[in-house]
Amino acid sequence: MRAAKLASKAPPPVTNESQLIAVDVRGLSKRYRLSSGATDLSPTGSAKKPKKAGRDFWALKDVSFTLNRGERLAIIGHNGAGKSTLLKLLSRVINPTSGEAFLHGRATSLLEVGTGFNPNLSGRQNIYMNAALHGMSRAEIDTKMKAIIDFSEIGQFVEEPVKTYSTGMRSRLGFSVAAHIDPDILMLDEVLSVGDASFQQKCLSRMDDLTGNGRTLIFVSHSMDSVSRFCDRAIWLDKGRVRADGDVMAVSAEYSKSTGVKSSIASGANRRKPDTTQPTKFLPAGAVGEAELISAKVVNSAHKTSTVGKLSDKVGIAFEYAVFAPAIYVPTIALYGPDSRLLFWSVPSKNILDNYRLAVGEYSATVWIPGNFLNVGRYSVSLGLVGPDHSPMERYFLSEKALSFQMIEPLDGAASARGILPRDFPGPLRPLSEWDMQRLDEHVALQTSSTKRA
Amino acid sequence: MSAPSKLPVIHVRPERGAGVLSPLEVWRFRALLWQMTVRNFQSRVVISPLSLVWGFIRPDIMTLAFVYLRQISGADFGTEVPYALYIFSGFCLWFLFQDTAIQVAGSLAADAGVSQKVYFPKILSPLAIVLSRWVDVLIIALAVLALQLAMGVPVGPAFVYLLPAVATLLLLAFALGVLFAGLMIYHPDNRKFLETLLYLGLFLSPVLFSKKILPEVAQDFYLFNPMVGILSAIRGSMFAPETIDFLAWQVAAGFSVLLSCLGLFVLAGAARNNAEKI
Repeated sequence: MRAAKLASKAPPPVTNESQLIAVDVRGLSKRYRLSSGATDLSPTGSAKKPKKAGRDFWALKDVSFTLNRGERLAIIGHNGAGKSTLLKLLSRVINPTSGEAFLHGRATSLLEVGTGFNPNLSGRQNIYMNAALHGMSRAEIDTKMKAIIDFSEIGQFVEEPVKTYSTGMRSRLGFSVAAHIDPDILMLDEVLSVGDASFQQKCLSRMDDLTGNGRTLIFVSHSMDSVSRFCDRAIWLDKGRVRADGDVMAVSAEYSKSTGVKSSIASGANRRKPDTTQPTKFLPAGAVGEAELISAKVVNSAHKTSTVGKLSDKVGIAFEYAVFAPAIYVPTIALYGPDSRLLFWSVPSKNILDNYRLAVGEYSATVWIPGNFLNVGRYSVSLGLVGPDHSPMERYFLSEKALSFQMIEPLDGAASARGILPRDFPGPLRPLSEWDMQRLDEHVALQTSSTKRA
Repeated sequence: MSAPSKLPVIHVRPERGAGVLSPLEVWRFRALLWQMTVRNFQSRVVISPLSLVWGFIRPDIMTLAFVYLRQISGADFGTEVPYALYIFSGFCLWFLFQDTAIQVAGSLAADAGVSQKVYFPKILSPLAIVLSRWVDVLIIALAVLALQLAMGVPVGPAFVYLLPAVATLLLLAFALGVLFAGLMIYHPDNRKFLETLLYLGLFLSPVLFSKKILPEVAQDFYLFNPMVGILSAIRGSMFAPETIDFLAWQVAAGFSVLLSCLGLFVLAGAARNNAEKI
């Protein structure tokens, strides 16, 4: 990272390399002063040191990165990490304390849908005001007025005061204006969840259009799914500093770990090991065994440990365990959905008892949850090893919600159960089901069309 | 999208000096300034359809009260034109000045919801208030002119000075408002101070009386009240019997320019360091 303070005032010289750069952030920092009490934030935007005594709080500290034209960057991080501060600084809503940034091109920020709406004015009057706020000229607004009204689906109500609109209508109007801005650099802060399902689909399609065509995007979001859909690169901010910067999947996976997503566990090096030197003497069914979990992990289709899984890919839960006494052992997992509700238990499906009669030793088991089965969200897994030949069933070990993983749906062209609908499907499962559709009165339709032709 | 070499460059950096009030930035955002002006006017009319005529209804009521008081007291306020016309014009102009200054002072707070989400030069909010007040100027001028003609007071050749004289009045209101807009960012209580100052100013300015009733020595010092020159210029340009005190007007114009500079300086500092406080 570069130094926090840079003296240069002029934009960097235009070279072939710099022509590719859309955003150049150099040591950007923002300091607030805690004047009294922990929650009282007194902003000190200037580079000067505050005169009164007080504790400094750096909302953003020495953040540097460059963004090439057409790159789509996600800013992720916990609450208070500095994501919105960074976006506000780049939008010039607030001033940095030190550092600088250059934005090459027409930049627009969407920190909120419908900013500046006056409830007493009509939809049309508010379109003029809102569009002007985003840098559109009067002529430009006049040209796009019809498209904006059509997109918002408010129709004849455009002449009515906005205070008579429903919340959905206001959001649709706000997003519609935003959707017709044509910037080189677009900065978004969680503004995509507006309107009903069909309008969301329009918004998402429009966002795809906006973020395509070589536009540069900076997108702040808590949603790993949105981030993976719109962005190809991510910066993880932590306590105002850049913690990771790179490919969106890799950074998302790292970030997910910090949010409590635990993709692997392992017992320590001093764990008890089974004594495999003794000859095994199998006992009849009903013998009580003894076993311990050695390790467990969530793996992707390439058998690599992963905290983030793609909806279209299968997810594996692999675990290893030590058996200390010969008996019947059945590995099992329980999967919990994003709302912590149990979705299902799973055990191996082979119904031959000898498959489960284990001698002393170390074993592994992997269960694969098929692709296009789970929904977007965070899932957790409990692991166990049970003896089904006991009543009640013997639990040799049960590790409750020991692992977790995040399911996302990047725009990679894979078949999706969402079809043409928006992706916010309710429920923990979203299987890619097989559908057959056909017209029942096809012969009538054919007759009608042939009659018309005649 | 434009070709890369022709793209504008936005430089984000710690603001120093009056950079936040750059005239170039205002020019760049002229479309927004116009929209804000239109919005201010439209929202006033929609919320209170009588707000436009209120500009002379309130002075009407005050004029009736003061004319009655003068009649029963028999006091002479040294005016060259009928007293009713004199104080009606005075009240119209004073309320225009007072309302503009208070609105300008509160304009940043009124637009806070927007300015915390979208960047635009902070000076646009007060400027839009002042620009939208020109409609009130037109209505007030017509009301005063109607009363003037009804009372048989002729319009003189100095009428050409009316526009710059009103501009001086709005400049002073802008200057005072902007100063307090900046001060109110530091301490919101400054609004009360402004309101008190304006209430006091009504009785210290030649709204109800002519400066001629003051002793000559006091008249010289009275020039330093900028409203003396401004009211003299406006009345002198409209009413033929009244004369314009050009010296007082020049003092008022100079004072307004200086106060504007001071106000912009204070506002720039406040907006630079306390953007989140607005």
